[in-house]
Amino acid sequence: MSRHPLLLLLFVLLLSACGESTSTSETTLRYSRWGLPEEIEAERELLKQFEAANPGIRVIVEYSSWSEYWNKLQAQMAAGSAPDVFLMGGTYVHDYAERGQLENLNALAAADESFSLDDYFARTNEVYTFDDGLWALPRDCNTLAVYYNKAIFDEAGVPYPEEGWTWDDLVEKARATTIDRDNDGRNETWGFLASFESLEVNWGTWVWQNGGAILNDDRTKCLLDQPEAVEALRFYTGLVLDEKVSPDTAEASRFGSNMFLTGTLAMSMEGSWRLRAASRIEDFEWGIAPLPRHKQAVAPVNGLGNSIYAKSKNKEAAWRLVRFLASETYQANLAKSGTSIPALKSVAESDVYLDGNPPGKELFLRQIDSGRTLPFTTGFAKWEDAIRGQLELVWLGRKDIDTALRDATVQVDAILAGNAAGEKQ
Amino acid sequence: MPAHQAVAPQPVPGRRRGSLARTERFWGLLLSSPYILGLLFFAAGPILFSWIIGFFEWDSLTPPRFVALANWQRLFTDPLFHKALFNTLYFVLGSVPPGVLLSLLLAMAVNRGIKGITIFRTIYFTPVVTSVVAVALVWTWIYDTNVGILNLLIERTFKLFGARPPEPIAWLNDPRFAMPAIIAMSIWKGLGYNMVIFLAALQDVPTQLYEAAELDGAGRLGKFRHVTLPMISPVTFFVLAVSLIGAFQVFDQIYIMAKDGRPANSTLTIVYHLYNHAFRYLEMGYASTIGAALFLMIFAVTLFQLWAQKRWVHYQ
Repeated sequence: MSRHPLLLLLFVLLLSACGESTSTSETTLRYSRWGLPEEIEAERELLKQFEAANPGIRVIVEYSSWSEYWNKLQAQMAAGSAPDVFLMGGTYVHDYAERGQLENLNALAAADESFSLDDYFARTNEVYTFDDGLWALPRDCNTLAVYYNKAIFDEAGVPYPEEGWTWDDLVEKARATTIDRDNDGRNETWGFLASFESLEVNWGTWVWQNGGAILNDDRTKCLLDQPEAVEALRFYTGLVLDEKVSPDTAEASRFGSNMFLTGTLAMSMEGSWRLRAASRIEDFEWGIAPLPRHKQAVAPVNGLGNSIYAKSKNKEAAWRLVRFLASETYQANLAKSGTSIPALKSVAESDVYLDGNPPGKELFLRQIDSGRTLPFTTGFAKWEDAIRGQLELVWLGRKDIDTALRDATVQVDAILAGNAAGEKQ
Repeated sequence: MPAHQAVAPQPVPGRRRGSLARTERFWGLLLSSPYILGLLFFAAGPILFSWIIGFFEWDSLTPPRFVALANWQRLFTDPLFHKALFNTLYFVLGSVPPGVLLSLLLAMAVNRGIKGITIFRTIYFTPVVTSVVAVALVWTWIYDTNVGILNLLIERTFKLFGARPPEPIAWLNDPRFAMPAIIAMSIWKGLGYNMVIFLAALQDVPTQLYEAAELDGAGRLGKFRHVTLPMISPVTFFVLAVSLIGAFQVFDQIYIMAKDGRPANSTLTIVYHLYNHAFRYLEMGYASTIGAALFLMIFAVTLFQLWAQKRWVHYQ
């Protein structure tokens, strides 16, 4: 890491220059989010409408990539200079709310008659409602689907996945679509991709569908060592290790960063936010199907929100901005962008979102209704890392699933116990 | 040795205490003040602060809580820290000795009066002035399992000799190969820097020493062992010390090439572990303790080197 004093000096000078520009009579709001440059451009355009409707308020959009976003936000909070409004996710909302960085929006929401939380998906609200507070206004509500490659299915002569299909159907279809065309012992296409990367996108679903849970209801104990969870993840890792219908990490690395987009994967569990990237596929036809069910049909649901910084000096103006980001205007634009399902139910259930492109988007809304929010807690990133580390060993064939989940449970319990100890002090 | 000291300028007694000395001191301090101030504010301050914060539990957002030696105790029971320590030593031993040896050989190779030799020197120095991030990204492609040029070369070589090529190696996704792959890239990246330093040292060796050795009947190997090596030993010491310090702090290329110490924590180094705790888990206190432990390790190794150098470094 470079730490050249001159560079730092320059940086400080730049910072002080920034400070001067805000000393005008109008209110300047700083709003920070992650995203691609093109998304930010669209956001800036949209915010002009907000500025027109709220004379005297100017919005500066700051942005970074997802991985840098949280480092930057943490540093800004430590320095007491975080933006007035920023995008929030379940991963860190407990960490920041508990440490007094987020404004409790309950009072502001109650004072604004135009706003009602009931207009938004309850699943997103759940993520941000805890400890007698509302820590962000809902922005979007996302779930998963199985994206499937019609070309590979047609080649294998297998029917596409459809509503009500099961784990067994998944295995059967995955076997048929894992194809070694030239018989060289290496598959050119794979049926499915099972990965340990993410609780939300990859492994959490299976535990729930088998009647298990990741944490107990109080979120104080990990339940991954329980029979339902072990059985579910044995099935899931079995897709790689026993059935061999999913490539392992090393094998998957042969196919580039996203196998589905490059046309080498028949079925992929992906977020509803992937629609936009998928819409750019030109080489093959694709479709979406609900997640395959087992003992019960349940999908993970997660949503982003917009928070107000507890130390913001412009909380009134900041409320207007988060209110705008939850408004019909903004939400309709979000629906059209294909990057998210809007959190405002009236927009998500209208033709603006359900535009038939691709057909079957209604399945997302059905899954949200019957879905479950992720068990976010303080230290979520840390315990998800611990589980990831254990599962990775299973994928590499270095640990059996029972031992790995037992070890993971011990680690997660220790982290959750640490949280509880911290709260008492 | 005495000859050198005789020609060195001696201070003139009596005259140094005048206004000239004072002016010199003033200008000396003034001219070095940007660096000294930078060091005080941006290095010494934070270093002292991090030593102190290592005895606290601190998330950087709420007031720190004094925990005495708890963070230091945690170092001894944290299995990931032990893994990171092992990986860091692996990286240090894997990259420094071969790196120093190769750059010395390279310096000798380009230390000749051949036409166009500066072109080669420039080529070898290019990686040094390129950003680590850019280099690491390019090497990620080189190591790519499917389209990487390294696997392609291996395949072609096997086919050339009529042998059946092996399965493509997932360089950065296989726990056995990830660290060696990153070590190889790091050696390549640092080669030019050490080469230039060695080159300067080699050109500093007085030719009459070689002539004298030749008269005494020394061959090429003999001249290298008994003239070159001792004459450049202060520089070798410098290169070794600086490389070791840098290698202990390895972070950038791992951040780019093997996110989160993957696969299976086989590339998790001490600084990466520190980064995880400071910036992903909001544990500044423990992260500071890790930093302090790393400092002590580097300090101990450097002290050892300073002691050991008396046995092998020859100053003129």
